[in-house]
Amino acid sequence: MTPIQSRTNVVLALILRDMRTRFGRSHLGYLVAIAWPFSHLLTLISIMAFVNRLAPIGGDPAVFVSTGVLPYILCLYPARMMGLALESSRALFLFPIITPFDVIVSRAIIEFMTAFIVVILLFTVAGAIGVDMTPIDASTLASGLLATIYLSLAMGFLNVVMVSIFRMWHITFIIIMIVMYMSAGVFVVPSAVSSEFREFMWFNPLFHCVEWIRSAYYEGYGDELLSESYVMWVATACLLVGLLGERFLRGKLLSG
Amino acid sequence: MIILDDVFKYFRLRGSVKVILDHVSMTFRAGTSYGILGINGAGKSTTMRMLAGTELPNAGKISRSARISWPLGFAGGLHPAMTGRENVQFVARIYGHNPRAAVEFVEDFAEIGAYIDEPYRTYSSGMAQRLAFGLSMAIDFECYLIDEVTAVGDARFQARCNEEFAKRRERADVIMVSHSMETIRSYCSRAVVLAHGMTHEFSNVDDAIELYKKLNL
Repeated sequence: MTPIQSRTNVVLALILRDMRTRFGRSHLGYLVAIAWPFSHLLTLISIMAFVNRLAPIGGDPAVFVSTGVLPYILCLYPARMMGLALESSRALFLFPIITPFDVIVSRAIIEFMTAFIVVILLFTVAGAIGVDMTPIDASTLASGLLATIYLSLAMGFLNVVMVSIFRMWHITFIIIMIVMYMSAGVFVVPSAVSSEFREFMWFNPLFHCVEWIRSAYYEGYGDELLSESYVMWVATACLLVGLLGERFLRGKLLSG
Repeated sequence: MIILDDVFKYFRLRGSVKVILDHVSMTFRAGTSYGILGINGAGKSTTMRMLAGTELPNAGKISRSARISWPLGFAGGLHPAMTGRENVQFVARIYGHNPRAAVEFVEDFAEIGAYIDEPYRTYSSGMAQRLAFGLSMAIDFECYLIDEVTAVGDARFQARCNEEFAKRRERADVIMVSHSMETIRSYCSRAVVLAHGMTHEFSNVDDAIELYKKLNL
């Protein structure tokens, strides 16, 4: 068996096991893993679309709110679930063939699938209740969504490493996410806030994800502030630091 | 074959440092079975885990050129919420074995009947041990690591274990930790005594046992 075959066997087996044991003990438990972020998403959208009867830049307020909340959910959940990956499967390392890297990669693949399903569900539900979520530029929407998920998975990789170094990391991560959420312009357009705050927002990668996805819906949106390469560089930097951490803290990741 | 190259391993315990292996280089050759002896706390189990690869040394390198088992004798690693069947399928998959064949082997060997489809946490300790032992026999390893396996099940099951294990011994080697000198004598042709971070290798098991008895005084 080649090393690649052997790694593939391990990762596929871990994916099946993870889906089966995430909630309860059946495959249906995986539905909870989808329903959780999805209901969070729907709740935020319906409350905010109801409160903001008028979108700041015209059109359906549900579309404006969705394009802000969706990147937040896609950024939060995969990163958070990846951060929990090793803690929930420490017992697996009894089997020497399973490495921390396998567990992280299999969790990342599952979270990618989950995020993908959540996106499809959102568009299906929107279509069913008559909200027109058709973008003016589908390829920008697709690349924006993929970039957001990439950012999240990279942050998740870094998360796994940080959790093994700092005991309080889970709480720290939630605080970071709240700050990112508050300063991403999820419910407001950047021109509605002060220029000092706007400069601060610019350094938030999630802000660029929101801008990126909105630029697929609104003509000329994001022309001034959006930097796609900033998202990609932040994500890649997180991933590289995460990979370095995995290499140098391998023993710590194994034994906890 | 397992090669230890300048392996250093320590634990930090409340400020003091406990050295398990102090820059040890040695080779476990293929075709030879080894017993590891040492007083309590000498680091036998840690050494086993390092040989398996489930724990890493602080410095140095351990290279393996054989399919090495997990340290048998621990029933951990199996998921309490998954059924026996699912657990066996999972382990068969990670080792690239046919899950169905592995389940058939374990069903036949462990004799737990309908419990194979019950969650692992509902098993009695005897059933859990039988499943774990059957599982380790269902995977083809070239080297079995055995960490102080106490007797599994009743006399009849023990006889079957010994029989199955003897068959396996024709193809596979054993590296074992045991406090029973009888077991070490019957399984191993060489022995390693672990003391004060150093390893002493003996080609004669009786000499190793003599040193071990002196350490115990």
